[in-house]
Amino acid sequence: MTSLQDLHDPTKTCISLVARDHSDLQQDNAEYPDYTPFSSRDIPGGYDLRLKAYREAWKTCCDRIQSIVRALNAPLVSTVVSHIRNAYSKDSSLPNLPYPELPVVALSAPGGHATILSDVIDILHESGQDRAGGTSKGKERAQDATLIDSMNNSRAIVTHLHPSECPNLLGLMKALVCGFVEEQDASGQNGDEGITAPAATKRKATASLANYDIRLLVAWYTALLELRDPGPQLVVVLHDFERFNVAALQDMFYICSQHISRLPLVFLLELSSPANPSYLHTAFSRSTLALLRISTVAAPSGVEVVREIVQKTFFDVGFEPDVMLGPATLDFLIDYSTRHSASVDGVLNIIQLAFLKHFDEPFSLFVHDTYLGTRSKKDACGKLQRPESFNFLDSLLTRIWHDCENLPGGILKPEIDWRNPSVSDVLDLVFSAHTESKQRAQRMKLGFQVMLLVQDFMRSEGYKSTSSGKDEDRLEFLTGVVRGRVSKDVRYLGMAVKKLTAKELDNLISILYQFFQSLKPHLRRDEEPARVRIVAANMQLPREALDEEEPDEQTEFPKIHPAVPPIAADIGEWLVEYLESRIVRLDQGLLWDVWNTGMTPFPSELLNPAPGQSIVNALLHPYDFVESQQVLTSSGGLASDEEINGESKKPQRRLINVFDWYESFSLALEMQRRHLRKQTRRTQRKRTASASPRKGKGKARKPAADTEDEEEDFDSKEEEEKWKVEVQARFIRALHELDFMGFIKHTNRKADHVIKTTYDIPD
Amino acid sequence: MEGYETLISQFSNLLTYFSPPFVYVHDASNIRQSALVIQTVLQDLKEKPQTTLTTAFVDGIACFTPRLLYDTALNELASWTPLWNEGCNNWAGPSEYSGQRFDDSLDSFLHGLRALAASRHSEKIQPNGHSDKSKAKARATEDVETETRMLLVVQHAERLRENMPDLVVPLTRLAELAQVDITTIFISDLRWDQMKPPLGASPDPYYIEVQPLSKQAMLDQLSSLYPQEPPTHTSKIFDPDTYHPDLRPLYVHFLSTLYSICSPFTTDPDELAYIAAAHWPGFVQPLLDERQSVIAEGYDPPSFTPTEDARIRLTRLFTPTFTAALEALYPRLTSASAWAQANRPPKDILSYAPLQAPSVAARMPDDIKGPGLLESLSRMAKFILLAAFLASTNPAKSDMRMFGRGPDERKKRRRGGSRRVGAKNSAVKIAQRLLGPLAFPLDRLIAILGVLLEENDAETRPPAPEYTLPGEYTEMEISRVAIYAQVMELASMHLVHRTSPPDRLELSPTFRCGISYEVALSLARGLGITLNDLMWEPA
Repeated sequence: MTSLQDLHDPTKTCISLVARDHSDLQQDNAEYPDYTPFSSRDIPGGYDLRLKAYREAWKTCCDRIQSIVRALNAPLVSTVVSHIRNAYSKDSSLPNLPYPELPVVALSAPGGHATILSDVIDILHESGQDRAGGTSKGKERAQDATLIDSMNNSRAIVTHLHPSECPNLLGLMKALVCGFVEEQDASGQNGDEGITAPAATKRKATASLANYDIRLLVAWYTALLELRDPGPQLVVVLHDFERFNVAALQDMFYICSQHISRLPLVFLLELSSPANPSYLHTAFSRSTLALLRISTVAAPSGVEVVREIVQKTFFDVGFEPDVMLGPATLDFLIDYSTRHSASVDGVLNIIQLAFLKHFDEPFSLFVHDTYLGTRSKKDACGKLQRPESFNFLDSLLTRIWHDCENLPGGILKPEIDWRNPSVSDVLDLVFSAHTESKQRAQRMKLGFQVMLLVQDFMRSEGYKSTSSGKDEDRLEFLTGVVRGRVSKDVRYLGMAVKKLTAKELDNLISILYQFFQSLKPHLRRDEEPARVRIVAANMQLPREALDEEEPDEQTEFPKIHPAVPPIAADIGEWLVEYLESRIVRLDQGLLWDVWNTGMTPFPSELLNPAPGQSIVNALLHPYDFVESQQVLTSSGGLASDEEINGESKKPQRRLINVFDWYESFSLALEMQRRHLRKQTRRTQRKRTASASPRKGKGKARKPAADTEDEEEDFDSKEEEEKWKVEVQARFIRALHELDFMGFIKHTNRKADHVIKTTYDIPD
Repeated sequence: MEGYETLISQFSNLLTYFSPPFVYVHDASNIRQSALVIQTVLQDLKEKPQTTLTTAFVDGIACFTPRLLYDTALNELASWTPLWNEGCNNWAGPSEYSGQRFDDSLDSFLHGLRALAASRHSEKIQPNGHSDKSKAKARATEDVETETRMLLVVQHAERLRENMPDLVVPLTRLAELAQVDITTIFISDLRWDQMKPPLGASPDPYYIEVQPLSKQAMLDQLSSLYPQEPPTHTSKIFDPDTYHPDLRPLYVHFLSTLYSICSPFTTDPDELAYIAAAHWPGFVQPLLDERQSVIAEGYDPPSFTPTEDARIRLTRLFTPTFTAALEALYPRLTSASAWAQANRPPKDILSYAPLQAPSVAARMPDDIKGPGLLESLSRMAKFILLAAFLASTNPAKSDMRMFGRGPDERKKRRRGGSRRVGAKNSAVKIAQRLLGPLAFPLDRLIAILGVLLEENDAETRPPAPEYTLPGEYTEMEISRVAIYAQVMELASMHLVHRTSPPDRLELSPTFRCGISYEVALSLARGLGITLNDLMWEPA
């Protein structure tokens, strides 16, 4: 209390310290309009154009990923829906149970479940007209015949409960009851299509049932039943189930189970923990579990989903991403998903960040076309010929020249006049490089697909599919493909194919034949030689060899027809040759890195930063930190108070005496002040009226320092006193800031000592 | 109602002849059953012409606020059903009480009771005409002179003590306070002396202790659940003849086998009935198959009653699955219908020669198989769990010796070992992993994680040439956001339990490990770590 009283005492000195951080923030915004790391060689308006290109590229990619995820989850969605629809149906329930159970569907999706839930709710919401039309999304997804049958039941009413609005049982019951009663009132009044709800009646709050009373819901449902029989199911979706209060939930389940005969409630739990170990079984008591009939549905999750997404987005012949992921990004993606968390959201974030970073590069304007944001090539030429675009054009030419010189074997010898190249020629060159890059990527994907097919075939026949024998590293196999480092595996596959029996060979050939047959027409045309080769091999394979292969009774190995090994060897050799010609590195060719993120390091600090360590490092090495963050702050070589405090607590002691610390702090500050004073005198002597070079953090202190300096001449003693108080105030503030950030801790052992909680790495 | 005869007779006598104001029924084994019995008894009593009873059943869990309790009690005592179309109004009392609330305090509740008694007296009660209350009305008209007795039954009464502690005493003294003829009956699985309000504030109740069911009573009760009529609807999971009346004798035998196998673990009749409901369709299936094949061959359908030989064969075949059913169904690892679906016996198992019949192994339904714990967790989560296990089992003092990796590491560790030997001689100390996990602060977890990662994970990381000092890379890795997020995720999955309140920000949060030694061991094996080397008291 005394300190509070001191605050009101007008005789005490009051030091006002400006909240520096706040002012810094505002200044940063003003001084720091755009992030343009390559502005020296950018085209005018390049930033916006690239952002537009990025949006387009990302949208295509994101849509693809979403459709993959949706396809992955489709069976799950129909399972969940059928569980909900059949919750009270008699043909899936057991007779003679001691008491009815409350149906609960636990949807466990550790990698994110937004689309699953929304799909489920879409289907549940569908009205009879939609079903008859058969064109809705839900109908497509619900292929199951039984499901469509069960859809002929009445539509369900869905309500959603979120943990934030249900901190206790009262909130939970209120949300549950009002969710049905009031929501349906509202939709009924709006003339919403769908369920006929009983008309809202005016309830007198004091004379009627409480709005958290389940009997209110019973009364409402009874009225609903008079309107339509059989009544709809009442589906309760509990979002973020783990964050609900467990005790309140148990009571809610008990209350609801008392009314099963009158309320067909179905609970859908959205769990983010894996199905095993089950959260429900660890958190809930047995008596609660005994009231429920839990059907657990586990969404595909983990590394498998990540592999599926990456493979189908970047390694699928049927889809051409605008930008291909390079080895560095892919490495990070794989490392992050195996090490930290493998979720769809994580993959999306990583790919999006990689795309964003990729579009920093000025040349990424060429990702989609060569028009540079104009409508035609002519306009683009005009734009490039303008003087502002010179730097861009110059760097482009340098790059093309450099690429052409360094290409192995002179793959690309463009027929243009290098002494006096026209802009149009350059754009043509970029265009052909784009086509070339697309073809290259397409061929790589084709090779990859064939290799995957053969590997899968080998695995299904019970052979090893890779030279290392580890099948589970298939995600890492992708980086090998991108780097073009799979020749070992390719040769292994070729060797394995050579040893196949006639029957297996026949199967393999037909699988390959089907694959090439299913390609798009233009690809099929390109792969004509491969198809011919496969058909020829199929013809060569003697039919009688297929029948003769009975396992030898003595050796238990199948007898091999003499005509088969040469054909197998032939196919094996062809396969090796084919795969090696197809799976090549993508980081070759003219301007390859426009369409490939290449070896650009992934900005992992954005996704997975280490804030604590960064602050400690900043405090320990303030000058280095400030230097590296020059854009953000330019305090003119003056360290902030926390930095000084951080520096001065360097001595490796466990307990720090606060007074000693204060002494060293004030010493450091004194040095700083003298430095400032010297600088001011120098500027005064020069009589330059220009603005101070110091901005940012220094600014807050500088006026004070200046005035001090002037006043010092005539009132130095009073000033000295004031300065001391200010130092003290600043020290206390810095101390508390460090305390808030958790770098020091108070101890009860010694009142004037604090404990240091972080120790720097010895330098 | 088998096995509850004492309770029934005691109760009906009590309420017919002499009614104490407060009755306490204690049933430690199955409170649901006793409540059901009491409900039936009261219903029977109501039917009798010479008594006039009105009853209200309230539940200590469902009525979690006083208002809910008052509303439910008054509506039920007045046989009033709130209707949606009439605005869900509560029972409003006779006209002289119009505008008065009966549910905003105990006082108004007492007023409500008095109003109810008065209205009963002056036959003002008008059931709102939609239920079959005409009989009650007629009776009310007949017995104008007889006092109507009210009964308030509170199930799960022990929960009142937590939710509404102020209400326990008034409820036990309701007759005295309201000055009406009302009896309060508490049903609870807690003994009265454990929930008795202090200072003798409540009168001593008429105490009824419900004894657990005897074996025979339990079997009788279970077999009484056998449906009189076979279920009419067809079902995908069981044969329509599963509950044929002729199979009843076999069901009784089945129940006695079930009881003899399961009774050491549970004697709850509900649980036994649940297991029986899940197991019976599979158990009887071979018989039905056999009958079907006989019919298919063109013979007359044989009777359902199996021969003694077939019964013994069935029992012998299925004996191992009883335990499996108990293990899966008692902790509700799966539901009865899922279990019944997953455990259909092989077709025509009775047609095999006795020794060649395929064994009937119990299977778990598909939805709970799923990927194991080891597969679903990420690599870092496994390391964190392991670090949490070590932090929970090793004493904090031993960390320096166990994990300190300085130049004098060997000396320190050996000292640790020698001390352990000394401790063994002096007194038998129980290992911490048998005593349960200790709580540890987050900082300690992260520090141990750092050691584990430095020694076991450093090679698998992507190269980072910017870290030059030994240990700097690990230091950076363990302070990353993803690690903290992972700890919180594990806490939300209850694999690590948070022991400090989540809203306390000023100190490092504390946790407790949630996995067993066996799980930790298999995690460690998967990561290539020798767990016993890192434990202060190895197994």
